Amino acid sequence: MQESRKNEAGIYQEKPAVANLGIMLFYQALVDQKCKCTQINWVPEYEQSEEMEALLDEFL
Amino acid sequence: MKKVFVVPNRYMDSVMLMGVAVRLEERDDVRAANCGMGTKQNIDMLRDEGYDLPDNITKNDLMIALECDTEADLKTAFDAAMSTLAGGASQHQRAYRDVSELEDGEYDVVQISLPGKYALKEARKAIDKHMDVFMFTADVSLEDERALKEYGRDHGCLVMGPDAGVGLLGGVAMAAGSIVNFGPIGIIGASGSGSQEVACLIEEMGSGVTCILGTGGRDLKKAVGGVSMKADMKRLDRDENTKVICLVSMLADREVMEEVLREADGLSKPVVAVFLGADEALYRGHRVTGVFNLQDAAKACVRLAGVGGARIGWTDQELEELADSCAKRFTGTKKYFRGLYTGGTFAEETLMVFRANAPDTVMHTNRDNTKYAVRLKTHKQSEGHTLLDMGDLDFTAEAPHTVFDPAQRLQRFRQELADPEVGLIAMDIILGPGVAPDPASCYLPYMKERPDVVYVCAVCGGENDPQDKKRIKAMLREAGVIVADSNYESARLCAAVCRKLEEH
Repeated sequence: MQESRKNEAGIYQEKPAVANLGIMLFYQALVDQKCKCTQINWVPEYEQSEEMEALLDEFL
Repeated sequence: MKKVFVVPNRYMDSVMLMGVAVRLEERDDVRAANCGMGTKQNIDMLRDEGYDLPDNITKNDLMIALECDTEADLKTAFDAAMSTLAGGASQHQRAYRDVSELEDGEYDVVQISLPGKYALKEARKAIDKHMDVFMFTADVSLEDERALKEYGRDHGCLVMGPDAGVGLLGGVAMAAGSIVNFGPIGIIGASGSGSQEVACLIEEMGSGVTCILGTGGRDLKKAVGGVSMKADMKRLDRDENTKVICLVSMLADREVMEEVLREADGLSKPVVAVFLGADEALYRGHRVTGVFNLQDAAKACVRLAGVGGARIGWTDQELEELADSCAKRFTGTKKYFRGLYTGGTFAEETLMVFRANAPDTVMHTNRDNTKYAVRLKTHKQSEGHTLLDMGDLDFTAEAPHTVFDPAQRLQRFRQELADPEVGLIAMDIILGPGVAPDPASCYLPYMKERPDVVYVCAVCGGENDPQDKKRIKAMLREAGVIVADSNYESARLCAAVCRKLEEH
């Protein structure tokens, strides 16, 4: 599906399908342009605090 | 009383959150409002402002900090905030949590505006899926930017950004860009507003573009080496629909710009280059058509493509007559120009035109790294002739970028109008599906109240942008604004007025 929207040079010949990550205004702009799009419901991944990592290092 | 409401596990982008805070502060029952994710920086800032916060807030949690007179007002305002946020989210699909969950081949491009370190991870996941990347995010190190761009190039993917504000792919405007008619000119831009201006002027002259490939504003820095611009030139040289290639950038690393021009010499198609601030020596000996402002870049492209050619801009005589009539309106205490710009390239181009055409005018600015003006003591207060880049961090750290929400520039516009020494105010008005739906009408009542001040605006937008460029121009003219055909023309006029003021 992806290749059909671009020519051999890699330039889009028709509207691309876009996944948006972040600012919702940009997602809405894609919707308004009638472009196939999705808003990725992203949340920051869990990260250990340095203190917790040090504790785990001590116990494991 | 002050209270922080914490909504666990709810990520919202900073543009939306700043917008919600501005709306909350407009309410009569709210003294102050601040919305942000639970990052250490945001938590520290709220504690400094006297808010009590629990210790278990994580960066995945949304914080809405409110100051109101009563507990009931706090509750009402919080409910209003949640209602606004729910309205923003209601139309969104919720199927994916990150790029790796997208089905292979389902999406072509990922458009990313997350904080830097997360943006990089998601961009690499996208390239691994053979997707193109458009990254609005700017807080990425130059080393990481280069590594990402080389990774994308080696996998045959476009990497637009980091720090890309404008793009046009298959007729779809990315981020803050404009929708521009299809035509024979391909634009590669390390300057968002610069690329948008060139494309929109090309359309205005009756031609069009195959695409705008935004490289991000730092692509031609030494540490990045022009990786994207060089790769994109090769693409456009192979693209059968592109007959002329246009390179747009602010002045960057001399060695990298020369490398880019050498590579351009080897292309099979005509190339126009506008590296704003460059001297003739940079272009000398190269095959490219080198020009010195955005309007000339658009004119050169249209001429080389042989499609279109409608006249834009004032003749020298028209400009002199107009400048004369504007200068005569500087009566009483009026003596200064104030420029309120949202596009960084528009600000820089205007400063360049002032230096060239009104060299005795001392201009003040909040822009860093410009040789055409004196640094303001503070961005909060203009001095003499002042040109503000309101897209700079000075302003965007405090409120949503004016291109998304004109509230901050409106406030500054009113501040300038209250200064009896101000006789001329210039602004850029930027259109596009991803920017403020009504970027101009908020100024009109204040302009009509003060017809003694000269207003000059340039509208950067495409015919098919949702704001309706023709309507916006007509509305501004109706309010007495001088509407220039381009930012360059706006700058020429303002500089000519200031030159006349210096002469008298």
